[in-house]
Amino acid sequence: MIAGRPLLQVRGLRVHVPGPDGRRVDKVAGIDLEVGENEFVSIVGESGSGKTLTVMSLCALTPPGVGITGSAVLSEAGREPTELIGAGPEVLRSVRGARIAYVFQDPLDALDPVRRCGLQVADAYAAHSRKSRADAAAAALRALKRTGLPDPHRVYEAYPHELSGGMRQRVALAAALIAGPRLLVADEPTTALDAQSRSQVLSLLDGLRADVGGLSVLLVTHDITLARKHSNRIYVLNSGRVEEVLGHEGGFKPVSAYARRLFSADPSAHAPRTRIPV
Amino acid sequence: MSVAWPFLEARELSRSYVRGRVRVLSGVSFRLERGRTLGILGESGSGKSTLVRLLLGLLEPHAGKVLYEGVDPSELRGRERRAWRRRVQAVFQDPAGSLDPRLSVESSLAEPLRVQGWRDRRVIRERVEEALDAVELTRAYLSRRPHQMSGGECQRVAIARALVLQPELIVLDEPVSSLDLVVQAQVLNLLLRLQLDKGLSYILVSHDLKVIRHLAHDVLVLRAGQVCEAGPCEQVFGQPTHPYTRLLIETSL
Repeated sequence: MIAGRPLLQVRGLRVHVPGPDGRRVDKVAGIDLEVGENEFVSIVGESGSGKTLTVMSLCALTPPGVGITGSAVLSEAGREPTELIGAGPEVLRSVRGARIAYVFQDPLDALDPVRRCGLQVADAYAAHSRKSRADAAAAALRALKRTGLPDPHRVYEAYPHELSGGMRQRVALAAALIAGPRLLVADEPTTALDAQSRSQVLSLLDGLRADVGGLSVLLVTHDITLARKHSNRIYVLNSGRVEEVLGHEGGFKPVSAYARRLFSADPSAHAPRTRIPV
Repeated sequence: MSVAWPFLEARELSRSYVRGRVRVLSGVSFRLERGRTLGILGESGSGKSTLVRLLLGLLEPHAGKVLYEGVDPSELRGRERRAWRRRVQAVFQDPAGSLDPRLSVESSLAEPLRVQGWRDRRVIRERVEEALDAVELTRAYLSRRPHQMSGGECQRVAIARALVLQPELIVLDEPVSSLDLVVQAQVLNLLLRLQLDKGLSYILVSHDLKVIRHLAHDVLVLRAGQVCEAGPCEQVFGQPTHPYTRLLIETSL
C-alpha cells in the first residue's frame, strides 16, 4: 500500500478508558495504520472517533488511567526498530521530540506563557543534545528562520502573547522540528488560525518536508478538503476503528457508507443551496 | 410607501470601542431583501460580532443607521419596540451556552412567547409544538434539558426558540461552527428548508467560506471592520477581485 519504506507500523492498537461502572471502554478498538518515509498521511473522522487518542497513544501522551495495548513500531533507516507501546520512560524520552514530534491545534497551550519563545525552541534542542547553551540558542534562531518568520530575532525575544496565532504556530513548529524528527504528528494544526496564517503554515509544512528530506507527516483533521489536498493516504476512523483507507491514486473516493456520509457532509461537494445528502 | 424600502438596510455603520480609540467597524453598508440570505464572511477581529450586535439593536452605532423597512429600531419604544423584537431573532454559535441549563425545552421555547405577553397555556403549547416540529424534533424532547442533548440537538432547539415567535429575519451567528461535519450538514439542510417554507430572511455570519457559499445568496467579505468585497455569491467566489477574498478561497476550497 505504501510507496517507500515503512516508518511507522501500527498493529491492533487499542486504547481504553475506565467507564462509569469500572469496566473498560475501548475508545480505540484495534487500529492498523502505516506511515511510510516521506509520506503525508491523514486521519479523519467524526468527533469521538478516536483520532486524537490514536496519535497521542504513540508516545504515551494520553491522560493517566488510559490503557494502551497493541503494537506501534517506529523503524528509521539505520536504526533498530523501536516498539513504542509499553516502552519505558527512557525509550519514550528518546523518541518524543527527537524522533516523533507533535504540533497541536492551539499553540498558546503548547508554549509556556512566561518564557521567551526563542528559549523554548532552544529547550527542545537542548533536551536532545549535549551541546552548549550558545549552540542551542544559535540552533533555535536557525530553526525560527527556517519557518519563514519575518523577524526571527524579534520572535526569539518575544513572549507568546506578543505574537499572532500564526506566528505562535510557527514557533511551535520550529520547536517541534529542531531535533530533526522523522515523523511530525499534527493534530488540527490550522483550525485555530485565520486564512493567511493557515495558508502560510501549510505551505511551510510542504516546504519543510522538501527541505529537511525524510520528514513524514501524520495529520489529524476534520477538514476533508485539507486532507485531500495534502495526503498520500487518508484513514477514515469510525468509533475507534479504521472504516476505510483511501489512496491518492484512487482519487480518495470513499466506498463504505460511513465514509461516503462523512465526505458528503462537506458542503463544498454540493451545489449551493441544495440539500446535502447525509 | 413601505414597498419602496428594502427589508433591511445598513447605512454606513461605524462603531469604535475604548472611547473611540479602537475602530472596529467603519462604513459598512448593505441591503437585504425578504426571503434572501446575506452571508457575512470574516475572520476573528473583522468586526462580525459588533455588526451582529448593531443589527440586533444590542449596541448603538456611532455613525450610520440600521433600517428595517425604513424604520430605525433604536427610535422605537414600548409596544412598537417589542413588536420589532418579535420580527428579528438570533441563533448563536454555542447552543449549550444560549439555552438556560435549568429550563426544559418546553419552558425555553415558551419563554419568548411569555415575554411577548402570551398567557393562554394551550395556545403557547401549540406554538411550542409547531416550532419543535419545524426543527424535526419529536415531542419527547419537550421535557429534556440542555445537558441531556447533543450539540446538534441543542442547536435545533435554539433554532426552534428563534422560530417560535414567527420572525421575519433570523441572525445566524456562526450557527454550525461548533458542530461536527455530519451534524453541520443536517443543520444546514434544516435552515435551507425553513427559509423556503417560511420565507425567512437570514443574516449568516461565519468565518467558514464553505458554509456561506452553501447557504447565502449574497456575501459581504469583512476585513478589519471594512467591506472588502460584496456581491452575489457566484460572482464573489467565482471571480473574486480582492486579493484577500482570493486567499480565503485558496485556503478553504
